[in-house]
Amino acid sequence: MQSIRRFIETIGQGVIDLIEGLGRSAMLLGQTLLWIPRPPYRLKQLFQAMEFIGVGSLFIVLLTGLFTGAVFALQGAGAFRMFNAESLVGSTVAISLARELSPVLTGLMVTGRAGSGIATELGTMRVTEQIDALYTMAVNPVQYLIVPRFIAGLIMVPCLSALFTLIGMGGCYFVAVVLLDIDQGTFISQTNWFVDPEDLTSGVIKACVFGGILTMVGCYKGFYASGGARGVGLATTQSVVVSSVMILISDYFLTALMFE
Amino acid sequence: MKDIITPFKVGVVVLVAVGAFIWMFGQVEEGIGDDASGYRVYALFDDASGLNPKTRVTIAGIDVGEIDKIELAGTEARVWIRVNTPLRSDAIIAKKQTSLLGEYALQLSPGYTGEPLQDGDQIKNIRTDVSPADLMGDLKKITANVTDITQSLKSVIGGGEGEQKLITILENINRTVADLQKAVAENAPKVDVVVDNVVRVTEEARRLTNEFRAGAGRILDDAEAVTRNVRDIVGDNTGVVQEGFDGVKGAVRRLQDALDKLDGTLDAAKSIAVKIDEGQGTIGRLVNDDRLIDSVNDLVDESGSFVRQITRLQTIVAMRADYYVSRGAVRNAVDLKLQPRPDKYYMISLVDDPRGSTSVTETITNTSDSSEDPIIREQRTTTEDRFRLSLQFAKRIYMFTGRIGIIENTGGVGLDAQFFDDSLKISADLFAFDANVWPRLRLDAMYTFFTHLFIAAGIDEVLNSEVTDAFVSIGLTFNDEDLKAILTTAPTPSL
Repeated sequence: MQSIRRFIETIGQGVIDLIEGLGRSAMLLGQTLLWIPRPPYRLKQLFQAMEFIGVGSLFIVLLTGLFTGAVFALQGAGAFRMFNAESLVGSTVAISLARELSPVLTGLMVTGRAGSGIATELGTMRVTEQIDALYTMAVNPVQYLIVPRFIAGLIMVPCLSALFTLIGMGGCYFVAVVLLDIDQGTFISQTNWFVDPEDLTSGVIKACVFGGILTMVGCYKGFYASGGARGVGLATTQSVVVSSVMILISDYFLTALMFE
Repeated sequence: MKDIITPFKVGVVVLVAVGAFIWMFGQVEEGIGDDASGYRVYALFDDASGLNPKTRVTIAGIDVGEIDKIELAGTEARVWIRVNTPLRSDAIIAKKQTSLLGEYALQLSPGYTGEPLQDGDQIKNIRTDVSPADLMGDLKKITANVTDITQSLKSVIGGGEGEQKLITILENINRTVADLQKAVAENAPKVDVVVDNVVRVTEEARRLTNEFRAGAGRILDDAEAVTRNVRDIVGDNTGVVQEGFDGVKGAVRRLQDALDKLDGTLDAAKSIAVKIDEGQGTIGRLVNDDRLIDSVNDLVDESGSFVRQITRLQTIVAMRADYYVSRGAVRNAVDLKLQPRPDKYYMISLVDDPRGSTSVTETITNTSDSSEDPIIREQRTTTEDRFRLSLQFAKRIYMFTGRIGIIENTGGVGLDAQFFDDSLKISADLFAFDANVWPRLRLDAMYTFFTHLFIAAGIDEVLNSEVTDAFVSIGLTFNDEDLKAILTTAPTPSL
């Protein structure tokens, strides 16, 4: 009887925690949005966050993009060769990169590198009571810590996504034209013909949303971390998992919204 | 220094990313569908399978446009294409399959002699390409036929029975060849005789030809003798021939006289022509003076204008009956509208109003009879049932028409507002300014349907509440064209 009661209590506590988490995250997002237009504008914090998220993730994003485009070209050429339609490789990979692969993979890469870093940094500040110290110095920690990171995510992830698309197409071109000897003119003309400007803009919009998600999740998990070093580690892991899942789920809804 | 390096690195990444995005955007934006100079035309296809928005449209293999939209039009597919090259009405469009994957493109021939196509026009000449599916269908039919033939052949020559039939055929052929050889051998002497006969006929023909050649020589000799005789005869009758020549000579002299007279006539004609050309005399002035022809042109123009004015004059006759609800009486009216121009008309109306024309007569009588009042006032109101006449001039400006003139025997004005192609007319007439406390105001809404019929409803005497009355109307209208038709088809009364 005792165990059944404990089981029900556990489920109830889980539900309460979930709803409480949703409420807290919504309140944190609301506070962040409210603090964005209010001075003082902390440009130094903003640039540091942009460097951390954008410049710091540049190499891994470009590397991922290069090999993603290359491997898609390799696989696509093999499949299209069966129908004697290798000329469609470029356009297929370009559309895939512009619409889906660039924003999603960039989001996941930045989550793994920068989102976890944000959660760790803020979690450490929380458990070492540095955030409480900010309160005592009359500095709002949301404005000081979260707003710069949130804006940096909104700006830098779309930039990284655009570079991902460009470098991915470079990898695709190298494999298709140089290695597999697909006609260069056909490759370029088919790519230009089939890819629409809307494909590129939709990818950038998605990346913008993903940037907001990964920074907000990282900030939330770190901001509300507790339990010492273990709690910080837990927050870091949770931020990566939750960000990745939310990016993939929101990608579906964004795609349905923009292309249906 | 570190404070500068961080924004610099961020700026470089942002600049490179924005530049990459703009470059890619520019690359993919060069599609013809986004070309502002393009225009849209459409074609109706029985089958648009394989065609999609953005499918290429080519002329001679060069991209000139793309499919903009495909929609269902009845049982056909309306395919809108956007092109950036001029097309004509004799343009031809064809659906061509470009790969075995079922990828299609539209091939255009721009046309050469027709009218230029504008935005929204239709390409009417459609050519349907033979698709691999059609070819496979045809191939299937051919294969079935070949199979049938093979089956028939197999049934004929296959198996032991067929083999036996083939042997029989070969034996028959052998027998026929043997019979032929035998026949040739038996008929060889007869063939020799035939050949001999042919040789004899040829020799006979040669002999006849030689004889004819000799006869021809004799015929020529005879012709020569006849010629000699004719010469002798002519020599014996030289005097007669001379007389004939004299006759001819006289005829030539008379001809010369006639030519001399003709020269004189031509000189006179030339003199007349010169005078005409110089504008001398009546005909010369007629020919050379432009004022006359100008006068004639003016006269013709004025005549034409006059005739047009007469022919343009339209006559419209309307008859209506108004039922006054409170009074329970009917008012009848006949309107004759003379309309020289669409925006101007004269209207003559004859109205039979049940209220008639009211007049008041007061008689004052003085009497000395003590049993009666010294003054007797007698007031007599007389209402005469008589026709009233309206004569109005109307001028239309846009949807409003103003009228002024005599309305039912009194001065008055009116205003009409026409809606829905003049099928609905709302009118206000103000007249009879001295008949009552307030002038008579009649408001009327009239709806015309079936061209010649109309119904109306309104309120009369709006301003004088003690006699205000509502009315409903029905009427008939017809114009001069209808009158012509009626007059030409109606039977003529005869005594």
